Amino acid sequence: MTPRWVAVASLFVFAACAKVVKPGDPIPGLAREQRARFARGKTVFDSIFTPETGLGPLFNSTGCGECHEDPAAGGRGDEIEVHAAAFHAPACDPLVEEGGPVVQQHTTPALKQALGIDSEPFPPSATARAHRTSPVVFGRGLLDLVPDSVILSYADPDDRNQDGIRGRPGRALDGRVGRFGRKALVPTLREFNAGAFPTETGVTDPEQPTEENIGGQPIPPGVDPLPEPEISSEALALADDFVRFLGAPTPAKVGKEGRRGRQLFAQLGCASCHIPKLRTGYSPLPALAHREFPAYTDLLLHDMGPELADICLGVATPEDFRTEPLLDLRDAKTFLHDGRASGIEQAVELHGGEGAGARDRFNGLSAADRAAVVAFLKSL
Amino acid sequence: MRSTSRAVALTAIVLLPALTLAPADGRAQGAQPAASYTYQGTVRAFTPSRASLDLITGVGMALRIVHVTVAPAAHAPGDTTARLAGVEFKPGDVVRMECHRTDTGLVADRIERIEVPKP
Repeated sequence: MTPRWVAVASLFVFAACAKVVKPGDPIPGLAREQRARFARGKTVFDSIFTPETGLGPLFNSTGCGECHEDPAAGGRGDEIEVHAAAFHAPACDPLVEEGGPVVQQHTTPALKQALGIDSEPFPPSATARAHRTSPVVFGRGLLDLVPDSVILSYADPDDRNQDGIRGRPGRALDGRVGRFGRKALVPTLREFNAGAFPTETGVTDPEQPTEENIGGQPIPPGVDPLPEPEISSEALALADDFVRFLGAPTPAKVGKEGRRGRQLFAQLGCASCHIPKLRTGYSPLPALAHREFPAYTDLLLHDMGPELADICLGVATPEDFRTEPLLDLRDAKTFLHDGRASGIEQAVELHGGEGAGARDRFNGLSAADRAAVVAFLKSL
Repeated sequence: MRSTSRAVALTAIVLLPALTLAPADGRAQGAQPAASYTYQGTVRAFTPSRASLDLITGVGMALRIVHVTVAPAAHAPGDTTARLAGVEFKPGDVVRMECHRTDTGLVADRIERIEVPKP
């Protein structure tokens, strides 16, 4: 390759990297074929399932797009899920035999007719109930490519640097490093997506072809007549590609106040967990490989204190939550994993445990400086 | 003691000899080997007296339970019993199992404890 071609190629790469990504946009620089799959995958993502096409018999939503819709496909939703588990320290039982950990809130007409229930029964052995909002799934394909070694490099379970932050990695049930889900149970985006179809819509797929039981009981005969799996490998792959190719929204440009807020965000210690930028590792797709992107997470579990504690999951205790990626915060209407905070300041003030230090420092700021931090966060 | 336990745990592989799994009348001679299934997940419950183990596996958040019987031969007198008795799986342990299917369900032929690295 001649120097001239190198220069031209570099310009294209720079242009792709510099492109502003709006919520719902694909990652810049995708090849034509990938953009086509993004578009076709969006169709699957936006599909509305019915009992005739696989919905249920238990479900939380009729399609991915019902919960991930605001401000664009892949965004937030106003639905609140119910999760349950039993914590008998140190072991966590996700209560699979009683229908956990996700307790579906809707039933198909056939299941309602058979059992007379409108939602899955809450597991009787649960020691805790959790509420979960639908997060944005923007940038998840990039988070998927952050090497485990990078995540582990941020871990400090014994707080050796004595900053009060003791992140540790979540673990999948088979021992791999987890990164997806509010408790960091799921190691890869593909698995999260393949599990989301049966968990959220009751639509089985080739990677999880088994329907969930009904609160621990088998599905009554005739209630779910469609053979498993209820969607094809290709439909699953397309939906997966749509989510994988959703870009991480570019933070808005900030003025003097926002710049001050960004500086304070780091000084307060918020950035110890909400690490502003992460870098992907290898990918066969150049648009995703070795890309730095706004993440504002370390993908680790942190003790957030007793006020926020709810369920355990995997190695996560009730107090542990994975650092939420602060993506598209500008469009958020509620905050924290269960939506209990109606504003950014309230969300900060609800940080406990390892977040207490940063919270206290935030609370000690002047009103103008607190407003600056909020202004910065609203630019994300 | 602790390091001994750890060493036992790390080397804890329950291997049930194929001979003990074969029918006593020798009908397996020349038969096709049973299909093998591998599962890796977290132990939910282990009942040595019933030789039963419940494993939590799954895809993403779609979790499922795999019920496994540890082969009856594990409870026969002899070396196999001793090796099984020396292994105590507890809830939360991560294990990998190789199983075969029978009319009554899955039977584990090999169970290996997986050490999950500490950060």
